[in-house]
Amino acid sequence: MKLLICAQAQAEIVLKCLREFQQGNDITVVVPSDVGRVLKESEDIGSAELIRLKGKRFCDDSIAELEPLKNEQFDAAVMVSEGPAFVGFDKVIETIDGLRFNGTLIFYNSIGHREVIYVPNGVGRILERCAVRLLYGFCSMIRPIELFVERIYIQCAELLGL
Amino acid sequence: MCGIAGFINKNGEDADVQKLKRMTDAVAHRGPDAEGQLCEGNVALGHRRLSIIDLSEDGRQPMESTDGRFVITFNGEIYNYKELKEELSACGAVFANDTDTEVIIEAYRRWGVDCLERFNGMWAFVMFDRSQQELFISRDRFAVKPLYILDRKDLFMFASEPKAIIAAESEENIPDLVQVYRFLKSGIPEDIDERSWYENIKQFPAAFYGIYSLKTNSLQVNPYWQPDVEQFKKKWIDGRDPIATFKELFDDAVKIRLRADVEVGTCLSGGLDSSAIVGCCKKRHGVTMRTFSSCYEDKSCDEKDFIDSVNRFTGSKPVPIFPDEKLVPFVEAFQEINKNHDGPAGGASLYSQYRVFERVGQQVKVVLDGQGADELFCGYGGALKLALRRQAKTASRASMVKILQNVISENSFLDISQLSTELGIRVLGIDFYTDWVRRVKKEKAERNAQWRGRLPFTKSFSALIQDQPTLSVGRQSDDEITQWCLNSLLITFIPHLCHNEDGNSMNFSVEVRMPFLDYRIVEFALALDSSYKVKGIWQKWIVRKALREYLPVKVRRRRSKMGYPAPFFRWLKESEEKDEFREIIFSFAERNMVPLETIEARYTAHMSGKANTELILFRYLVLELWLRTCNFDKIPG
Repeated sequence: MKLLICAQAQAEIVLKCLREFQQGNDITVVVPSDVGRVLKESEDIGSAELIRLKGKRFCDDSIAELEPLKNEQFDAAVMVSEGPAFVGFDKVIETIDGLRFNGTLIFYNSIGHREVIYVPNGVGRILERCAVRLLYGFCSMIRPIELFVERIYIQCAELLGL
Repeated sequence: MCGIAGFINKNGEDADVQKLKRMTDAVAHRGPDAEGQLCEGNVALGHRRLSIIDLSEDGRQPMESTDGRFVITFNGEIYNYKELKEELSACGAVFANDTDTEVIIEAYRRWGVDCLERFNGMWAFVMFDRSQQELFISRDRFAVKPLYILDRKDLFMFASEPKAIIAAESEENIPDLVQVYRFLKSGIPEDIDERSWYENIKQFPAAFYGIYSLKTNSLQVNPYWQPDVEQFKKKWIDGRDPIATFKELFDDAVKIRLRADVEVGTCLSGGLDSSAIVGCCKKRHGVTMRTFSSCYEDKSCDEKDFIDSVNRFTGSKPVPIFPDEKLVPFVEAFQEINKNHDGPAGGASLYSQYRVFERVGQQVKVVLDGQGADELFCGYGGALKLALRRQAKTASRASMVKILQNVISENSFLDISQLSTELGIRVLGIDFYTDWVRRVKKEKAERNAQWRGRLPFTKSFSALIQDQPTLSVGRQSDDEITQWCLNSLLITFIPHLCHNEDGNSMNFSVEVRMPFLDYRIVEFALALDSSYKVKGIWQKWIVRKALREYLPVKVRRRRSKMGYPAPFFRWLKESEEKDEFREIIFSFAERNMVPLETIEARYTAHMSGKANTELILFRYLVLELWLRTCNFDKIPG
């Protein structure tokens, strides 16, 4: 499998993740410069291709380093979190937004827990997008109606002393 | 409920009764009904009494046991004292009065430190055992009642409030800069660990007891209660119907909290929890109460409709209070609140709470309050987010309407931008989520443009305070929601909410009793499967279900939440004191903790309406007011 690992996390967590995914996979790791320096000196980096982004955090600077990856097709993207919660991926998501991957996102947190999300591709992705927008619009639309019905129900209950 | 204070001269010098009196005078507001001081050799025990159970002279403290072996000074209530007294009497114990204080003494004589496991209540006490020459010290399980200690080479002191210690040892009026840093950084005030707002004065830990030996002049502390979810499951859940069990526990928790020889009222916000208490008192125990509620002319933060609904439903006697109706200048009020809390006020909402208790204190001595339910049964947005996460993990795509309904609900605290990335993608799909994140980030960037690049702290302050470790209760449960409840109970919410409530209520000699913090309900809630706490779009589901008969439909179906609202953002801009606020906020820069340009940027952004920075400006204001009362000038450098 061709894997893209994006990490806005400490080097130890990235290395742990690398060790777990390395076997049988062709890996490209994208990390901020500081983390990259530590990874470069580690044996665990193995055959993985390392891309160091400028700046201390993702999107701090231009992401020209990712240009060559735009022509590649990844099977999955692994996102490594700084902490135990699955938060702080916004910049990472933004960074990889223009890249092509085959629909699997793996969220990996600091304690090694994984969450796998399958993202549809091509037509499936367009359909999902439309479906979510429709559903979101529908929920937003029925919300006032729901509140209106609720208000009537409560007023009736109040009249009955309930 | 009272105020306690005392000390031990470690060098063996006789205790000075005048010094002890200075201490008890400092906490006189906690107990205006009587006072007592006892000095015996190098030991001093003092007390201020708020008479609630057994109003006779027999209840005076420090109280001696019938045989004279023990002397106790006690703040709090042991709600199950009647049951314990019966049990102890059957074992031959002799009682001289009707107080719960004497029950503590006899329980300790009979069961030793194990007596603490049997107490159901809130307490902080120090008991002198003359025969063993030691002090037995204890604080309740959830830090409801305060207890502070100072342990120096020459002196051991304890008191209900730090001001009592400072009244006797004025050189200890030194601010704890770590607390100040934490407060500025996240707004979390004290009570998250043993620190107080003063450098050398520490909090005695909740759910612990201590034995202070006069022979060795040393204090040994040990826990008597610890959260053990598996144990609690065996005790409260296995083989029982959770809904019936919860109702049974809640009914009893309210019943034993109605025990008093004075009138008991209730704080009623119109939310689910306080309404359930009022309903239970009336429908289950036949008690019609006076209900005290804060009301506002400003409809955006007024809950009057809900309050009226509960009062009509239960036939209670309403006492509306309008905190906005200004009687005392805000600055003066915040100085007073800082003084009550022995530190800067934790939030502008304390002003509203303060005004409510000011009125309560003129009418009753005891009120019930709904504190605890949000933390135990997931009433906050943070818990809803976790519940959504679980729903999103297991729910089919077809159930997504329910999840989106929750996300969109205008009454919910939850905002789509608060969803974690993983959850956001799972619920909304990657494109929709990334679009949303982009929009939120753009808005945030525009908001933050005002102070981008400005340092939150001066370099000298940052260098002085190294990064503080994050506190944790440790992993007790694999279930994220149960873990969230534990953190809320022991670290993030309950300790400082109790601190705030104690500070505001005791300033007006009012005792607050919290049925949801009955330890049996806490243990039950921690063991309860979280699907009973959040079901679909309903938070605190079990409270709505089990206490259905106590709640009017309007409240039972309520999903919004307000707390004690206080429109500080408006006060800053429009009140007559806005210039004084500005002067105080800007003079905080002289403390060399936050750079002047940061304060300036935040203030300008707020006043121009470009951003709402009221939270941080409020922290600068109250912190400056409090620092003016301490032995502190500024951070050097």
